[in-house]
Amino acid sequence: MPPGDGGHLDDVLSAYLDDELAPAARHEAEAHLAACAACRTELDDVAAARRAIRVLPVHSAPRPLIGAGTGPPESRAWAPRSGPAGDPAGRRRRLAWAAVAAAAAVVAVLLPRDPDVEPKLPSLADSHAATASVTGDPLSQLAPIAVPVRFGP
Amino acid sequence: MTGEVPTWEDVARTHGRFLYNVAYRLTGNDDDAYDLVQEALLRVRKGLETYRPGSMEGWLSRIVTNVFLDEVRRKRRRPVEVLPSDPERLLPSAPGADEATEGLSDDVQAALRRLPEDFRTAVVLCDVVGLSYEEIAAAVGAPVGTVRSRIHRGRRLLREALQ
Repeated sequence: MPPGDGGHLDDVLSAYLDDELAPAARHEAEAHLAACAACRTELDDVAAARRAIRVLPVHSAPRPLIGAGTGPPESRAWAPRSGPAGDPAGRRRRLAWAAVAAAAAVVAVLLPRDPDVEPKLPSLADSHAATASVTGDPLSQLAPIAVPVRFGP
Repeated sequence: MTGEVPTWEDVARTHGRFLYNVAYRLTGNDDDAYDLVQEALLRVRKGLETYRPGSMEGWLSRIVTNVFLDEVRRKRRRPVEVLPSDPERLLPSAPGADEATEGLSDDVQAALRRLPEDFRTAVVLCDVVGLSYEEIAAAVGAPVGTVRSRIHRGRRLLREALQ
């Protein structure tokens, strides 16, 4: 494992930390480290950066990845929004859609039972409940509670 | 293996948290991460028939990375903005104001977000996902030596930014 042009280990140091060196190369790197203060300093630096990333907490989605009761994701191009805080219009648009979906869920649950759709209603509610149990959507979690209520004669 | 293939909903339920975290570390903000995950789930839905039992998270990391890099390449081919004269503004994206509240890990996240995409991708796949250099090379379509260099330079830049 030849060190970098300047005679230092350079990116061999990261490979060393990640256990990506063959045994012979690893021994060479250790021998070099024992004799080279500059490489030891750089090793400490990249080890600190590596550790900082590895201890980052898992970042959770602020909203459900699967919409309540909606189907699979539709095809749309992913494109990063300009600006550091994202596109407020896009966020509003999604919030509006979430509101529409929530309203539809309420309507579906509260509608009087129609004999034609009777088998569908409980399964719809179940699907909302199943989704809600994953997404934590509080509205959909009410779906199974609302099902037994009868509005008809 | 019919009957063994999970549905995309199963994948979203079981691995959504993992997928989202990787997307967030790659993009650096929630809105882009959310869209990235949606697109990745779409590819998961299309690609599940070809999934072979193995490391689901490795497979998902490749998918989400490919979606991310496709967009990065598309942007490079067709820059939509006039290049700013200030080189600072050429950095991928500045940390958002909503990031300033989470404490120390936000400094790391902000520094990560300022890395060039190639470095950031390599570092995320190595230190967030835990892929080997060879797996990262396969995911990003670059030689292992290039991956090693990107990881190292990315870490050095991070260290400088955090000091």
